[in-house]
Amino acid sequence: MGEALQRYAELTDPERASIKSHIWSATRPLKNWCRTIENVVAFDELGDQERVKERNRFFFALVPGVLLFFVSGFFLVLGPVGIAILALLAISSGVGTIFFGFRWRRLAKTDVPNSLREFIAPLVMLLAEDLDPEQPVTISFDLNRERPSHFQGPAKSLPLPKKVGMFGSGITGIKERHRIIPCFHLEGQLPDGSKLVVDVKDFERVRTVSKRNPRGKHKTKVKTKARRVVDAQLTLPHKRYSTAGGSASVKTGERRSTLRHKAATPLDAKNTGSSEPVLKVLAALFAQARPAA
Amino acid sequence: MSNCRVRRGFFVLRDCGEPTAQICRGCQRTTCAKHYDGAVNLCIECKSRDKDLTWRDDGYAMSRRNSYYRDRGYSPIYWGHFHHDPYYNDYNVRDFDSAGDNDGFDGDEVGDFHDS
Repeated sequence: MGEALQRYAELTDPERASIKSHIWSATRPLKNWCRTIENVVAFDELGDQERVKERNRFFFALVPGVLLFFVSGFFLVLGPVGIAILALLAISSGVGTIFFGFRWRRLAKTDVPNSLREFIAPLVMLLAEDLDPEQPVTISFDLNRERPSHFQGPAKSLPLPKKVGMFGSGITGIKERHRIIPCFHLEGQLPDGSKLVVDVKDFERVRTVSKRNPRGKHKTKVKTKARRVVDAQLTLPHKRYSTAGGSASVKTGERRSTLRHKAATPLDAKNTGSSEPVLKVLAALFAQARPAA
Repeated sequence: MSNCRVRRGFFVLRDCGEPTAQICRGCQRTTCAKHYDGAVNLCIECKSRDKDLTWRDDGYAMSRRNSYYRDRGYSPIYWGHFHHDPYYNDYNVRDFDSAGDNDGFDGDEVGDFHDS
């Protein structure tokens, strides 16, 4: 635990604040962003290792204490000596459980969701290749997917399905909520003067279905359906680029044209960390760029 | 010695342009200190070619762009001076002339595709 906490102490104040809040938002040079991400991921990997160790120690101290409770009768039969041994073992188990539990809990507070290293970091490293290293880049993302503020409005009740058979479907209520998770947002400039804005949001539909079976038992099931929407905008200066037709919409201004493309992909556990949907949208934008005549 | 011949970028390629420090043993191109790995005497591009690297490795973007261009058929834009570098023959580059510099531009239709 010492090494992870030491690494945590070495992080900057904004980095520590972002680790605790899970919200990252700043405008700074690209190099600083890459360094920040590398530092935080290195800390989190170390933290993960130590969290596993502390968890194992916690259970190693807790389990003998629970077992002692069941075999305490045996010690009580032994008289005062047995009681003394029982008390000693119980105290050491209790102290160990509290001590390692506290350490585990303390490390858990600084846990960074893995989407930072699985989705954000590879994407930023790829986009960093194209962006101007001298210009500041605005990046923001929220790693906490379960934040209540992501929900859009109160839950709506949906009409129940028609009754089927003698007992019907058993469904007593369906409630639906929608939430929007701001996964990633980037605004930056390319060395040729083009501007790039990438916005990635997850749209989730959370449906709670309540059921009552023929024996009168109530059950609730929560189903989530998600899709990732990538909305990207590329502003090309007329001095260097013209634009061709394609899937992206083109808005032509006096000095620059803006290409915009939006695409949605169904989201499941397998592709949550994939940067492929983002690259696909960006490729569609850059494919429409032509050199200025 | 000329400048580094390694191309930076993912969707839009450009010359690295840093002063040259070494010559790659694999491709014989001149490379800067940042794009050269002295341990294997190779430039980062040769070192990362056809390898599945993670984002923490040097040359991750280069390795990823190789596979991306090959698998997705993307033709990158190139703004630079070395339009006919055979190293990038596989890339199907869209050669764009650097602003104010027409050297090496073949004068065909704008945004033409050819093996560089």
